[in-house]
Amino acid sequence: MNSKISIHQLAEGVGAEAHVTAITAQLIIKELFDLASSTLEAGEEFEIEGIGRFRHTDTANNPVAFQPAEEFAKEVNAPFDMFEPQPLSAPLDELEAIDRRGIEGLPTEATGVGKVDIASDMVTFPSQSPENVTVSDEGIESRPSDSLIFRPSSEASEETIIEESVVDVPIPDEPSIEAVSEEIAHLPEKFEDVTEDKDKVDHQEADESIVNVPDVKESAGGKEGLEEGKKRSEKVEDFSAPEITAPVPPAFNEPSVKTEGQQPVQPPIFNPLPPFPEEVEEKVLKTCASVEAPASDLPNPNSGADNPQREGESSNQGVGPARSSSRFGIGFATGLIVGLAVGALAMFVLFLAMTRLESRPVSSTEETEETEETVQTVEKPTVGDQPSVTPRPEGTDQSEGAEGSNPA
Amino acid sequence: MSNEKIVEELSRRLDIPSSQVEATLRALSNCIREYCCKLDTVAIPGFGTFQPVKYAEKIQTDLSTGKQMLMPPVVEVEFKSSVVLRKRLAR
Repeated sequence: MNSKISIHQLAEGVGAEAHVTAITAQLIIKELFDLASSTLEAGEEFEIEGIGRFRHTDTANNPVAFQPAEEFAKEVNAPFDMFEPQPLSAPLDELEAIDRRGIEGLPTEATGVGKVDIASDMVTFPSQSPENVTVSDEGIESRPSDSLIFRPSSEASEETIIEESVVDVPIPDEPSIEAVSEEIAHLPEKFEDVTEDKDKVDHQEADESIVNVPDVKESAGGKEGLEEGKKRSEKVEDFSAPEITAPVPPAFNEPSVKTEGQQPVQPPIFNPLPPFPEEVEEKVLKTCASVEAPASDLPNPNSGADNPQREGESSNQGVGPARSSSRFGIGFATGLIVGLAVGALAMFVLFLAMTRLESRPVSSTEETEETEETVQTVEKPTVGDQPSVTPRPEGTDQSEGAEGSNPA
Repeated sequence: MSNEKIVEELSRRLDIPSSQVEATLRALSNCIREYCCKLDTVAIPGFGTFQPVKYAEKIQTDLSTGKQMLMPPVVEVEFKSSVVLRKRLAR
């Protein structure tokens, strides 16, 4: 490949194929091309069968034009016979534009035959208007994952959504209210907390009644779902109907606990303190009135401007936050008075103890005299305790013995 | 000049039977084609060289219609005349 074949090699090959000697083949080859040169020099064409045609031209660089024979050209291009000229699908400029800008930058007005229609390959979904799509929050909350799929508006799909939302509504349990009432009966001292719980229960029931109203006004074929929703909402309203009034001890003249369908629960007798005198009770009521006024002025999150209906209910029932705060004030005042009384009693007892100690005074002079006497009695030696002294013989110095010894 | 005249002239000049000349010419064309298919260059002194050249695929544009075609690779046999031939022709 890419080698240069000399005339000797060519002659050997020709001689081997033509069954002649290489010298004979070389002579014939040389004579052939000499004839071709003379022919071209004469201005004629020279054609060798199976090789091609030579023609003299006027160009200076290559005065001989060679046109290979057809079979020669086919044989040389035999490895590329499988390829054929292919028309391009799009013009080269557009292909380069696609390479540069990507598919998005493909111009819409494509000139030429091979126009690429990308829009036809795209999958189109039916348009969904937001008005036709109804998704309930209950369904989304209750269903774990597939509820987030938006469904197009259709009667069947809307009905299914309504049914699921109705089924998933948590119905308040009756025993829970009974248990609450029993708890109220057994724990009357926590009547303030019970009223708060009651408010919470009412608020929750009101919210549930609002949430459980199915939105089927727009649906044409959702009559069954509407009826079921109404039934459910009526049931919920029935559960919100029983009135729970806070149990208050008879000392405060509060009504007992009442529930619908049940006999009123009588709270146990509760007298935490002995009955107060009338003066004290009047003072307590005054303090309660003073505490009640600012409490009513305070904004209440449960009954605000957001829910005027709820405010009206609370005012009609008479169990409002101001009232509970007044009870709190009464209890607080009672506790304060009791605490003050106990403190005063303790101080009185302490004072008595101190005065009792002070009523028995001790003089310091008597105590010092008594102590001195006891010291003297301890320091005076008795006769039996003195040491015995024996007399010394004469001639010795008796001065020491006379001085230090006592005569018996 | 046609092939028959070439055979007659060669047989006359070389004093070789025309059949042998014809067979030799047929063998010569076969050898040149065989070497050119191998992309080898055949050099004939005093006349020129047969050089096969391979061109890669290319895109051709038809200027009249604007249509573009992808052309496959092709091998073309080019003849380059020798200096001796050019001098003879220039004379």
